[in-house]
Amino acid sequence: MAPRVKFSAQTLVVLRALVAEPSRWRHGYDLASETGLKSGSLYPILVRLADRELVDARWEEEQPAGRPRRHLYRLTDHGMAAASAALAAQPGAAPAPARAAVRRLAGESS
Amino acid sequence: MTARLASALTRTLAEAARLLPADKRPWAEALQAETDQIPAGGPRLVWLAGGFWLIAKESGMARRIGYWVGIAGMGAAAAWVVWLSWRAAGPADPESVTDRVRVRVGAGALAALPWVARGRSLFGPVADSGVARLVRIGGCAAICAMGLGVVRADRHGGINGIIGSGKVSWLREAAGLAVLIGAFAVPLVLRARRPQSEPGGYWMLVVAGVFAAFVLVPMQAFAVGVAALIFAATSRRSPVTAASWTVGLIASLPTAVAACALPFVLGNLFSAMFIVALVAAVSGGCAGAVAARLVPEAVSPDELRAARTREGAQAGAIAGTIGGLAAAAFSPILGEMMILGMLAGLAGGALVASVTAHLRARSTTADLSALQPELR
Repeated sequence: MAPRVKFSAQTLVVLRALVAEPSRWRHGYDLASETGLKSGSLYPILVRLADRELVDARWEEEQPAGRPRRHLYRLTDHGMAAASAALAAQPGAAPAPARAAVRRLAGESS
Repeated sequence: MTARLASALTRTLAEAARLLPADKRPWAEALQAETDQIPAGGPRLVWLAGGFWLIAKESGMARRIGYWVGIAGMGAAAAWVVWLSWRAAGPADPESVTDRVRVRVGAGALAALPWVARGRSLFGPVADSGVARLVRIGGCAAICAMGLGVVRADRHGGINGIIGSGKVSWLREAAGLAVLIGAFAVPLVLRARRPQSEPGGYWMLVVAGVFAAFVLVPMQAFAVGVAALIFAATSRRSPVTAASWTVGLIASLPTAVAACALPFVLGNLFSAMFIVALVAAVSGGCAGAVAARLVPEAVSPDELRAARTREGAQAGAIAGTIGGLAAAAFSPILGEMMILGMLAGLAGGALVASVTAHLRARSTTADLSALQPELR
């Protein structure tokens, strides 16, 4: 049985973004753009998730040209199970972060 | 202009990241590594500001700064009450001397108790929980408010002859102070000489000493007893969990409202005390039930039942004590509400938590029995 862990609403938004593409390594700005969270909210959430071994974190292996190496994040197997259970328990859980989706649509139409 | 500010903030952020413990530093570096990707101007500044918030949060600075600002505020409040007691009444008024002694003993207890036991963690440092910090600062504020109430009552000629009446007796004041100091000093000395002994006996000595002082100098003993209780319950060595603090604090609201309002609404202190005791027992019982259910199921059934009863009793006692303390801070003649609230809350919390623990243990046993045929 998947472990039942309680998460804050903002943490659930981050988990939803990570669950959508579980095998892809995401970076902070990418997650911030998708979730609409500010860096001051997003990074403490990632720290907590990594502390609880729900998220794997690593640096980019190769030095890209013209920018520093990024820190990358992905759900662990344990994190995937916990996130899926928590998101499934959400009443009327939206498949994607609604606010960010609305913002993207607004950006596309303008 | 914005670009220069962002560049300065990036450099400052790199320096500030050193405040973080080594294992958390990569997170600040990760945030910095993304900075160039953020659109220049406002969004980049907001991103960098988030970096400072991350550092403040992960290094525990925000919480520490908040706590010490609270402590400094309490120090200023205590100094203000002492100053008020000094100037509130003329030297010809003998009652003002009594009040000065009372206020100074209360303020002295706030300053001295954490210092006296600093090496033994009996009254400090504060527990690593936001609610414990809040309760400690709030409790100190309540003691300051009690001092203010004493000074105000004396300025208005006393309340029903209870406070502010009578002349100062230096013999009684000195004896009371000596008993109070002894109540805390003797157990500490004994404990230092016999570190292997059970702490329960020393706590009994402290309680007996404070009770003896209460007979001699009730206001001073009450203030010192409350200060000791607050510091001991919120210290790192305290067995009270963050869950019990939170539940107890929320459940203290009905008792606080009843204890503050009823004596004035009913006009009869004893009827009010009876109803406040009922309210404290019921809200303490609710707090006990919630706290008992919050105990994690990671221990044996017997330990779990004991832990649930203990947590429930603690949450109930916290609910009643904080409710009564709010009343004592509201008006010094309601000081007895704190003791009443504590006892009623403790009884309600322990009773309901014990029943909850028993019922949950029975339902777990029933679930296991139902599963047994499937397991076979």
